[in-house]
Amino acid sequence: MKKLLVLKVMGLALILLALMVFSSVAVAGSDKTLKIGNTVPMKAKEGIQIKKWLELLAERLNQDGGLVVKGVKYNVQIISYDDDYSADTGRAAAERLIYQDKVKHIICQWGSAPIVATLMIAEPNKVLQIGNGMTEKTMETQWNYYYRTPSLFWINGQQVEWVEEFKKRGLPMSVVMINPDDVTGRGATKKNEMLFNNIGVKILDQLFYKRGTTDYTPFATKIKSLNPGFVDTGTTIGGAPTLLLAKALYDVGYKGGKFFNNMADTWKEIVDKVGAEAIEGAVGGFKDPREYRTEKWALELCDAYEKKYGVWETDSVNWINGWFALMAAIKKADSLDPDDLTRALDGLKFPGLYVNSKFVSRPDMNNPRTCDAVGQQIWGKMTNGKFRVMPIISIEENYKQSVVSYGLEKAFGLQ
Amino acid sequence: MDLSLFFQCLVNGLALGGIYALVASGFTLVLGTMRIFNFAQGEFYMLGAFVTFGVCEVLNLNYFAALVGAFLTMALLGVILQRFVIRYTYGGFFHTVLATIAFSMIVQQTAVITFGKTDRFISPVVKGRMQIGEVIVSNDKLLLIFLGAALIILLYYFMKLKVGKAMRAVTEDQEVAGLQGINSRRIFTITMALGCGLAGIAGAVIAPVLGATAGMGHGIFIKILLVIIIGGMGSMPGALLAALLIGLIESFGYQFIGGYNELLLLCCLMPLLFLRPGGLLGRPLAIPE
Repeated sequence: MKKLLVLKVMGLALILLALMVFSSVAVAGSDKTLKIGNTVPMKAKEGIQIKKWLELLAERLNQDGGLVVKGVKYNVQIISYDDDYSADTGRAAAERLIYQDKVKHIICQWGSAPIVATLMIAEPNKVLQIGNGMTEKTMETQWNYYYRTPSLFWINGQQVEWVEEFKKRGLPMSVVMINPDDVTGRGATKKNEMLFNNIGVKILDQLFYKRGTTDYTPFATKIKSLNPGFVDTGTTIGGAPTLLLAKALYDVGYKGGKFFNNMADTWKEIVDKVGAEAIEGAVGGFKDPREYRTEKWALELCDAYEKKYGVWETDSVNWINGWFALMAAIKKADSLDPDDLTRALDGLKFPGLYVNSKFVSRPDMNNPRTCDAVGQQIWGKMTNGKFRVMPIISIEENYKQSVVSYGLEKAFGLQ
Repeated sequence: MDLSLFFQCLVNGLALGGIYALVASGFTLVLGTMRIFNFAQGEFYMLGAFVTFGVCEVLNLNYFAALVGAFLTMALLGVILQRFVIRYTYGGFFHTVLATIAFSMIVQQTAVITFGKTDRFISPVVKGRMQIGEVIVSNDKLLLIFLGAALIILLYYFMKLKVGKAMRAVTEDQEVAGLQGINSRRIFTITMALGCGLAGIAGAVIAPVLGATAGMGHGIFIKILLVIIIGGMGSMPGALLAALLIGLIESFGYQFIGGYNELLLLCCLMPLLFLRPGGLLGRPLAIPE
């Protein structure tokens, strides 16, 4: 009896040993894993969608054979943490990524506060960061590993086109700007103030509303009383704010031009619930690649998103440019080393799902490093109740128009 | 300020005031009769808007069915709150306050989880706009003013009925009302139903204009507190007057001083409380122990 027990125990031990040896052989023979870090605000739909896109992109890359660098195959793993759109939580998430998960690349962060907080740790640890963010702090010369795409600095190309559009219609060159009352809204107001002053548009007033406002009637009434040629709704987000603001302007009978940066997400609902008349002639940015992209890879990617998640969402198609920039740089450098990648990113032109972009320098910030990406611009106009996509503004045209609109021709050598 | 802008602001102010009046009258009713601060009043308003969305956009029924539906469902929810929560905390004023705050938080978070943070929009009940000279007003805003006024008039006549008189009697003196054969507990249930139903119907009235969103209850509750402080705690006429005044101050104030219009409201409050601590038409309310 005792002998039988001993034999059973020995047999079990042998099986366990065999399993351990087998699994270690399996691990040794398997592909390497490239961990790519990301932090996003998980309470915001943009943050959630960025995470979803990155996971899909990594999954498709791995299914297609993974990332091959210097003959070694890597499976890409996205490690995404919540930064709560704040510096504190962003820093904690970045520390975890860098010190615990040992990532050397952090991409597609959204929101200036967590991005700047991450920079403080990423820079001394030589971690490559490719993110978004409104703040110009990231363009300072002290940072060597930060690259920005998409850049909210290089978006004046379409705004100049919009003003031209209103000029053609004979509308007076005067504007009222309305934005959310926060860092982003005030930043956008300051930027557009420069733009309007430089292109000869008179600013009649700057209005600010609290995020979460639903009743825009007082603002619409004020705008109507000032009667500007057009209204710039700045960083008013798509969905309810755009719909309610459009409705309020229509309800008070305001007849001038309207810029709605995020109208593309909401125009159908505005037409359905308010009426086509409410936004006839309005101009706005556009973010649905299915409507203007012709490349097979882009359309297949959009289909894959819809198939995987059961819904088609466009709120973050532009915020994932960082992935494409990183992949293009890795391919060019044939390396994962951040220093090699910074050299590959120098002046790099790369395709994105949203638009194609190119990294340029910022001589206005005394920064010779090509750390800021200029992209093509997609915009549209409401015509007869439908959103019509206008001709795409090229990278070069957007670059030139943006520089001129900021009055920075001398700094950028365009004089 | 030209005449067209004046009338535009007047219409905006009346619309805003009308909504505040509806929600505040329900709150005042409950406060006056039951001596309860119902901190969940804003959530009944929010849920009323969502019920309207459900009835009109999901079930594809008539808007007037939504008005009735919002009133009845919120009245029922109010009765549930009163019977299963407030009744057990009625002995202590602050216990009741805490209970309604807790209820408010539960309802709000449940709404966020259920409906998400996306706003829901309802097709306009009466499409189009009306233009009188330079003044343009949307038809749904005119409907809002009309419905608000109609409901307040209905409430006025309701308070003249036997049950309305019984509610006023209980407000005056619960003990003496009991001696007259009035069942206070039954009156409390009716009061709660009516108070919450009014908030629900206010949500239904605003829904075609501003949509339904999970956070809308919190925003309006702050205004309701201002209404009852300015109007007078427990005073229905005071609440109505204050609601209209606040709506007009907000509407006109914004045209002259922009975002400082809310500061203007608070600045009006301070001298008022100094001169009339009980509010415009109320009297200081004794907080029960």
